[in-house]
Formats: sequence, structure tokens, C-alpha cells
Amino acid sequence: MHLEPIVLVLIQIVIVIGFSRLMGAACRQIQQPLVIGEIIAGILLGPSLLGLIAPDFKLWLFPIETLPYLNILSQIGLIFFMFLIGLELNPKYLSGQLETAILTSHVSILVPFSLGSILALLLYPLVSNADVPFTAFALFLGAAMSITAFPVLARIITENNLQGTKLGTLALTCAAVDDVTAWCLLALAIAVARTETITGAFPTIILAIAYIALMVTFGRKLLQTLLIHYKRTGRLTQLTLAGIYMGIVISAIITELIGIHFIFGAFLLGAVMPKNAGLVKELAEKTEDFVLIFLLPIFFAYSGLKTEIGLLNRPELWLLCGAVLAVAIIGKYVGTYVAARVSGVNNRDASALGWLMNTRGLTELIVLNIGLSLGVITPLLFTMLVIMALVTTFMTSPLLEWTYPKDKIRLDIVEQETPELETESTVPIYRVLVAVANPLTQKGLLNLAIAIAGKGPAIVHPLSLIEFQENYQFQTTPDQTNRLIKQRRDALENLIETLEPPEIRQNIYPIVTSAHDVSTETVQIAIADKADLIIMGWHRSAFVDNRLGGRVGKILNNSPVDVAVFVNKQKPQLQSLLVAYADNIHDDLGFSLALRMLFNNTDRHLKVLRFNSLSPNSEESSYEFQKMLAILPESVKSRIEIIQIKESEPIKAVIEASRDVDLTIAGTSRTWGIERQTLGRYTDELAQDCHSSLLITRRYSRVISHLASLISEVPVS
Amino acid sequence: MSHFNLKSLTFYGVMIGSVLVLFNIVSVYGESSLKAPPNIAGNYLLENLNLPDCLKSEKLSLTIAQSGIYLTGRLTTENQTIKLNGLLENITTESVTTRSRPFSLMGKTNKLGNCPLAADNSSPEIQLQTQFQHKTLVGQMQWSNLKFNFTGTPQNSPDNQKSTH
Repeated sequence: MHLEPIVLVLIQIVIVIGFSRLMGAACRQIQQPLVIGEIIAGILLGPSLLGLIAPDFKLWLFPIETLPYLNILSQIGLIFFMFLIGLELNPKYLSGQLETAILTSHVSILVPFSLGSILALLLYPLVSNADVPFTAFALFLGAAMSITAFPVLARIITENNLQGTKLGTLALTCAAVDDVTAWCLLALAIAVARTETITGAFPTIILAIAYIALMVTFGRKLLQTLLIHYKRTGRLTQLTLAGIYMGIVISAIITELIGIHFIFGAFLLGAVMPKNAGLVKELAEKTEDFVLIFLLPIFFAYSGLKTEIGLLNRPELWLLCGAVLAVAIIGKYVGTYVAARVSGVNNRDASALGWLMNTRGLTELIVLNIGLSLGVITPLLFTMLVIMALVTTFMTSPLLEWTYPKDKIRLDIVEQETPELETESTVPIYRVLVAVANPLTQKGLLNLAIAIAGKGPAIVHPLSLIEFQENYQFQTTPDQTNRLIKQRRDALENLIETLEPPEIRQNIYPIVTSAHDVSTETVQIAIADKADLIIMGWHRSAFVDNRLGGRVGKILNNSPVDVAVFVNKQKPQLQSLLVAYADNIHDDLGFSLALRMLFNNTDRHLKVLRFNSLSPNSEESSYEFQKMLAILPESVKSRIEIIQIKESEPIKAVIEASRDVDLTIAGTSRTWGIERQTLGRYTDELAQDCHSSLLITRRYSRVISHLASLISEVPVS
Repeated sequence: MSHFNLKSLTFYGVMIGSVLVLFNIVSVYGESSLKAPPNIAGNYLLENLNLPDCLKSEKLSLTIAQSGIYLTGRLTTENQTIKLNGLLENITTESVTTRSRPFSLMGKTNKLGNCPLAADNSSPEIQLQTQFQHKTLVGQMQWSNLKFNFTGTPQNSPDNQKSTH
């Protein structure tokens, strides 16, 4: 079937975007950056896979005559992407441990650069050709080995919640310095490659330095007027945006004419752009979606079309590829590690820094494409270096996890938020983790947590997680993440300030952090915090007709901690309580929590609606129930009323009894229609018809006693 | 260690200076002593053939792609593309300038144009022994029981770049 080139290009774009997203999602599943999936998608659409299994289809889909169109689209994407990288490069990142960072980043460039140029001695006679001067080849190979991908590294840091840590800030500073140095090295390599000698490159270098100086002085001054205009209007108008986009392209043209490469112009404009939070945010958000979703995958696909893993068709070529990989990894790791250790960084941080700096990802791919288009590297070396870029980026997350486990990071976060409590006796501290999705609407949830925790040796951690759906948005940059965390923390602290009585506030320590999967992170933080109980709000999932589905269901099912789900009916009081008790472990938890609430407030009273089930263990359970009652002090016991019911429809009895109380508590048992396996419409019946607020409890641990911090002699159910 | 004091400035100076000296040594040695293979990539139309009858109506073309000494090629007839591989070995200063070093490309095919594989010769291996004479490629092709000489004249095509696979 013959199609016009434009139709074919449009079909290519649809396939490229769809496949990139698919591979990106697959990589997210295995905790890898989205960019890895997109690079792999590009490679698979090229001769390495599609060309191998369906050569005719590949030739039909990507005929040679359409490649120039794809190339132009990918280059435009690159220009705007480089602008975004420059925009993201905030001098703020240079504020953390600058001395260590400068030493580490310089050594982490110089060691791989030196090793790369020595490797050039081996590679040049084998995989280059006589048209390429050795100096340009060695310079380029050295630059390719020295790259650290700042944007990918920044995302890995945010993803691991390292942005606030010493390691995170040091890595960001190093990567920012590396980024700028590596681009300068690359500019030099390009100038030498184009003029064929170092001396021939001098005019280009001088012009490039002059242009940089011009942009840093005059350009920055001009852009300050843009900032004044922005501050006056309060938003980025289309006219202003048009001006900025024109500026990006003009700057790109100038650097191309100077003889370095058009990407530098775009990067430079982004870098000198005033780093006003509002302006940068709006500019990045307006630009990034189209560039990252539409144009960048085309760049990956275009790269992939030129990557032919089949060229490595001899064992000695795989050995050479191994040598490239070894030099890249060892050079970067050893350089970084040794410099960091010399600067006094501890062993674990220095090692983690070494792996982080090995992230080459997208930046390397940009460099390699330039090298290939200039003819400095051959397709075979291009393929080896693409493999190196993929491996070094792919290995970063697992190796970081190995040297700096997420559990340890979580523990650091929890410990940071938890003060050293001085307890006089051996009474354990009762810890409640409250999952607060929106601080503005969840005062009731926090009040309940306080009512359960009480004033005794107890800590309430309101946990607010900022969820990132995508991992390459501007929102996920460390600086922006810190800003969002601060905003959320302020909102949470404002909420805590409204809680009464005031003395209760001293036991509340909010934890605010970012996460890609809120439910998994909640569970992991609960484990790190050694929480006795997770309390969360009830919400209807958008896609599942099941209120205990979605995130709530995931936490209920996966959490190795006792969980309580709160259905708030906006009753301000929590004075009269009702426990629906049917002799099972989940109801035991509900009963324990109700008892805690009685202990914590002498005005509260509790009604226990006891349903006599036909459970074979009911007598034993009954014994446990009686035993628990027996150890209660009279002051608590006197406020408990036990009512036996024998109705065939216990849910209706509970609903009826809930008319006169503030809070009804029920376990996730079949009796109350809220069994975990049959969650859904049955659950809705109790949740919807219950007249009071409802607390659904699910017990995980039979060992943890929720009364241990209140009374010494507690039965373990 | 403050990087603005004399000690650290000296350290950075020595460090960067050492790398520059190392790069200079490597660069001088590389430029003077290392020879990368000449660029022979391109599209060639195979002519002046002493062709057997079963190939007479065919238009044969050869595309050579190169990454250093590693060669890949495509021998194309009207309806067929045969993949080839080869190596450029023993590069000397002279061979770089004149591209005079002979090289061979090998592949496998069960038929060539309209010529079937000879019944008595089961090896499907095809071999092109060739070398440059100025800009023209001259050589001999051998397959099954066929053996013939050819001359390859360079063709302009979008594919015909400096060095491409």
C-alpha cells in the first residue's frame, strides 16, 4: 500500500507515542525511569527488533524518504527539551556543599574523560575511519564517558525522597556542575570535529565564550525585564510565550552558526532565564507536555532507527562493548567515590553518589546523536555507546537501592519527624499513622486519631503524600517537590493548630513526602514507623464500584499493621460510641480502640452490640471478651453497656442502634457485611445507612495490644 | 578544603594540567601512529560483468556500510537482497590514502537472481573479493559454481554517506 510521506509520518508518530508510553509504563512497573522505557521503545522500533522480525513492515513503516521529516521533528523536540534542562538548572542546586561538590564533580569528569581518551587508542583503529581526526574522536569519546544526565538523576533523587538529604543535595550539585562542564567539553569536541584540529577550533571557542558572556550579562538583563512584565501581569501571556519561544530558536540558530551546536543556544537561554518560581513553573508546564509527550519520543525513535544491535555480530565486538561499559562505569564510579571520600563523605554516601553519577540516560543519547550526525562516531560505536547509556541508567536505581535502601531512607524520614520521647516507665509508645489526603477536609480524621491516641505516651503522625503520576514533569524536580512538600506541611500545621485541646498538639508530628504509589508508600512508612494503627479516610474509587477498593483496599489488604477506615458523617462529637461485636479478631480491634477512647476521655460512654454468632470459637472468644472486660478499671467499666442481640439481620440492628451515637465501630467481618473478600455493595449498606460516623477495623497483628500503653495487664488475643 | 585558597587552586591546577598533558600525549601518539581504515562506504552499481545467462537481465548493485574495519553490505538484484559481512584488515598508511587494500565480503544465499544453487554444490556461500582502483571497485564474485569479475561504479543516493551501516 502506497501512502503519501505525510500520512506515513503521522502513522509513525502515533505508533511511536503509543509504544513509548507502553514501554515507559512497563519500566515504571519495575521501578525504572520512564526515559529508559522510551529509549528502549525507540530501539525496538528500529533495525534491532522490528527490522529483524518484520523487515518488510519496518521498511514500509519507516521508509528512507520519511526519515528527514522525523529528524526535523526530533531536532525541534531536542531544542525545546534542552531549553527545559537549562530552565531546570537552578543556582539553588549549587548551594549545597559546594566545595565537596566541585571537587567530586571535577574528578568524576576528569577520570572517565582520561580513561575514555586512553580507550580511544584501542577503538580508533577498529571502529573509526580515516576521515575522522584522532583528536576529535578521543575528545568525543572522553566527553561521552564523562556525561551525567542531570534531569534523569534529579528524578531518581525525587523518586527516592533524597532531595532533602545530604546525599541528595550533594548529588544534585555535582550533577549540575557536571552537566555544565560536560556540555562545554562537548562543545569543544564538536568544534574540533568540525574544524579537524584544536587550533582550527579556536575561533569557534572564542565566539562561543563571547556568546555565553553576552547571554549571562546582556541576555540576563533583558530577561529581567520579562520578569518585571510577568510580575505585573501575574501570568504568562501567549504573546510573551511567543517571544520566549522565538528567543529559544534564535539562540539555537546563533550557536549553530558559531559552529558548536544548536542545542547549546536553547540550553543557554533556559539557564539564564530568571529563576522566579512562578515564571519558571508556568513556562515549564506550558512547554513540557507537548515536548515530553509528543516530540521527545520521536527523538528516541529516530535514535532507535540508527541503533542496530545486530552490528555487534562478532564476539570481539561484544568484548569491545564490554570495555566501553567498564571504562564508563569504573571511571565515573571510582572518580566520584574517591573524590567524595577525600572530601570527608562517608562510605555509604560516597558509594551511592558514585552510582548516581553514573546515570547517563537521555543526555548521553543527545551527545551520541550529535557525534553520529557529525560522523565522529560510526554506527557500530554509536550502538555500543547507546547500550552503555542504557545499562548505566538502568543500573542506577537498583544499585542505589543496594547501597542506600529505601527502607533506610524512610526510617530517616520517620526519625526526622519523631522526637526523642522521654517515657518514665517501660510503657510502650502508642503510634498512630493517619493518612491525610487533603489537609483541608480531614480534620475529623485527625480528631478521631487524637481521640484514640490520647494524651498518654502516644504519637500521631499525620502522613501526607504528594503523589506523582508522571516521573518527568517539572513538578517532579527536586526544587519543585520541596516547594510542594513545604506547602502541604504548612497546610497540615495550620490544621493541627486548630485542634483542641491545645496540649494534644504536642503529640502530633506530621510526615510529608512524595510518592509514586501512595498505598505502597503508606504501608512502608507504617512499617518503618512501627505504627500500631493506620487510620485513613473512606472514599469511593472513581473506577470501581466499591468503597473499600482502590487505595483504601490496597492498604487494607497489604498492610502488616492494624488498619481502621473512617467514614465521616460530619459529627463533631465523639462522645457516645457503639461497637458492633461479633466475636472475631477484627471486632476485637474495634473494641480495643473504643476502650482506648474511653480511657482517654472520662465523658465518653460505650454501647457494645453483641451478636451471638454460631462460630465454633465463640465460647473462646466470649472468654477473651470477658477477660478484657475484667481487667478494665471500674471507672471505664461503668461507662460500658453491653446489649446482646439475636436478630437474623445484624446489620439492620447496628444501623438502628447508630441513631443515638456519634461513632459506630465494626470489624471487617461477614456479620457486618464488610468482609474483605466481599467488599463492595454490602459494605455500602452499612456505610450509607449508618446514622453516625463509622469506623471499620481490620486486625493484622494478634500480638500488638492497643491497650498496653494504658493498662499493664492486658490479654493478648 | 576551600577551593578559593592557594592550596586547592594548586590542586585543581595540577589535576586539570595532568589531564591536559595526558590528553596531549594520547592525542599526539594517536595522530602520528594510529591508522583508522579508509572510508569505503557507498553504493556501487556492478557493471562490465562477465555474467552467466541466468543473471544477464539482472541489475546488480552493492551497498557497503562501514564502521571502522567492520563492513556490512547488501548485494541487491531486482527481487533479492543478500546480506554480506566483511573485514578491512592490515591497514597501512599507504592503504589509507589509496584505499588499495583488498577486502572481501561474504554472505549466504540459495539463489542469485534467476540462478539456482548448483545441485553438486550445496554451499550457499557467496564471496566478493574486491579492491579499489581510484574510485572504482574491481573484484570477483564467487557463488555456487559461478565465478565472474565485476567493476563497481559509485552511485549517488541518500544512503551514500560518509560512514554508515
